[in-house]
Amino acid sequence: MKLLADKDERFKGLFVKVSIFVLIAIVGVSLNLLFSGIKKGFFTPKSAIYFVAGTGQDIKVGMPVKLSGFKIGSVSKLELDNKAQAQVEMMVENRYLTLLKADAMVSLKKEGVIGDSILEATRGSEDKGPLKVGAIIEFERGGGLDQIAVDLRDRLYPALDEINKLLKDANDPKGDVRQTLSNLRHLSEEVRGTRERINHLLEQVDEGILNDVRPALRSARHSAEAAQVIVEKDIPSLIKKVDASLDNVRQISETLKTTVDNSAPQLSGFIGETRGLVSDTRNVMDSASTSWPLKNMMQPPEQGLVRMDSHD
Amino acid sequence: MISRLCSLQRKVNLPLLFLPVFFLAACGSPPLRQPRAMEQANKADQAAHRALHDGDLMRARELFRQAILMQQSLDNLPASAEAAINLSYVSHKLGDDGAALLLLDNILRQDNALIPSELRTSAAFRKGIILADNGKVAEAELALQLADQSCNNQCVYTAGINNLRARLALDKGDFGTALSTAKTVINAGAEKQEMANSQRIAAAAESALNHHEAALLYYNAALELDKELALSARIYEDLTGIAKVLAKLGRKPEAEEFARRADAVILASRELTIKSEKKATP
Repeated sequence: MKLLADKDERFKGLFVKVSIFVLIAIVGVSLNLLFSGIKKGFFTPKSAIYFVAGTGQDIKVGMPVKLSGFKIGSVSKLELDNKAQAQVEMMVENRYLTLLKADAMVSLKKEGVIGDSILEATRGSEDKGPLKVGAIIEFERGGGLDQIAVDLRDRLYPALDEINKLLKDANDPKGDVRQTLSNLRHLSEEVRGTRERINHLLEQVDEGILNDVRPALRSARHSAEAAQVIVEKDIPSLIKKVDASLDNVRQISETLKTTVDNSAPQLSGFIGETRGLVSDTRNVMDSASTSWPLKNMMQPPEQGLVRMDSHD
Repeated sequence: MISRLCSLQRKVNLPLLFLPVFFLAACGSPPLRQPRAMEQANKADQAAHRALHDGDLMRARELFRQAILMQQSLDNLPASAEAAINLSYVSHKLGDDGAALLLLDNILRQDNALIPSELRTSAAFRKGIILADNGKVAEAELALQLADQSCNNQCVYTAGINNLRARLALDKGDFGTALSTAKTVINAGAEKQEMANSQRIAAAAESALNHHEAALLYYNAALELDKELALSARIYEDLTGIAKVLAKLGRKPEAEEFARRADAVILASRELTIKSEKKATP
């Protein structure tokens, strides 16, 4: 028995109508969820691939894994193992798994220099077999601005140390450079003394050759011997030291060249990104300045003919 | 304050409070954007104006050149002519009168139908000013004639054209014509800059006609206007003019005082110019 009698014609079959309406809504929501799921790849078959990272910094669950710019999977699990290393599980879509070889690897990079972190997979060698499900692959960090800074620091510090050493050596009174200069000065004084003595000998030659020529010649011989000792003993070591210094300078130059060569592409990318960022910021500022409420606060930019009078 | 807000929350439905914000946000939608190339050309023009406003004439010149090229690449002849007139102004300020006159001649040579009459008037008027500054009175008169024809007493340059005519008469030594033309502008009324210019020309003409007391009155009126406009170079001219007239009137201590003030104005102005040039683009 019905509690209330449906006297109004419009309420006849109300339960059926409401049921159909609710059913259509449920079907609609389900279809929506289904299509979203398909689009998001919830129903795409995937396989687990693992890698071990020294630290889990910058790696997050849900982080995309990309190959040649295409998303092929995502990080599904992140755990700390008994060696305090991060064990990372990635779920890679099966259709893309065939593209990866046994020696494939992933590297942590940023999309752009200041963008989000992603895992970039590299295909591996063509001669290797396909990557197996559950395989553990290599991992490396790289890319971002902080990494460039670390790279630069690692490469520049040894070079700067070498330069520092060289300068210290040059300033040290007992160092190679100062010693070399001191020896050269000494040699020069010796040679000057010898020349003076020989001059004296020539002046005195008329007055008493027999009395004076012998000691003078003895002195000349002594000086010549001293010079010979210096030439034979000190000059080779001096040349060796100069050679060593030149080698150091060459090494520094090579280190710096390598550093610049390696950093140049990254720096040019960084400059390009910065330029893009500035351009985007300018666009945002321009758009904001022409929108309410900023446009009412800002002075309109000058345009048209420059104001000029008959006396300008 | 917080208690007041809480009581307000109790009385009024909170989402209703956000309604005006939504309406205001709708008002804030950005205007429709122009094509990229046109936007860039306008931006170059705006940047050039900004540089000129900041006293960076070199940068302004470069940016106006860019604006001309951009407008030419879009076949926008009026806009490129406008940028060329502005560039001629900057070139004149930088002392490159040859380049300034070349730009203006290019505009004046073009077909009348392609360039709006206002721009033709402006180009001819500015050519007249540059030639007058260079002491080429006859050529300046021809340019002035051209400006007068384009304007036909119905443009914004009417007062300026009359002042230029008075100035040329003054340069030729025709002080009577200079005075009467300047007085025409004063009586008809004009914006402050042209009014000050006509007062200064009238003062110079009166002084040349040995009407020193009248000249003093005109110079003082011009000085007052130029101070309102904060134009150092013209304040200097007014002060110098007053000093000369006072000297002619035999009021030497006053004349010396005005001359000293004039020197102080020009020295400070030059120092500021040098400093701003140092700050500007190398």
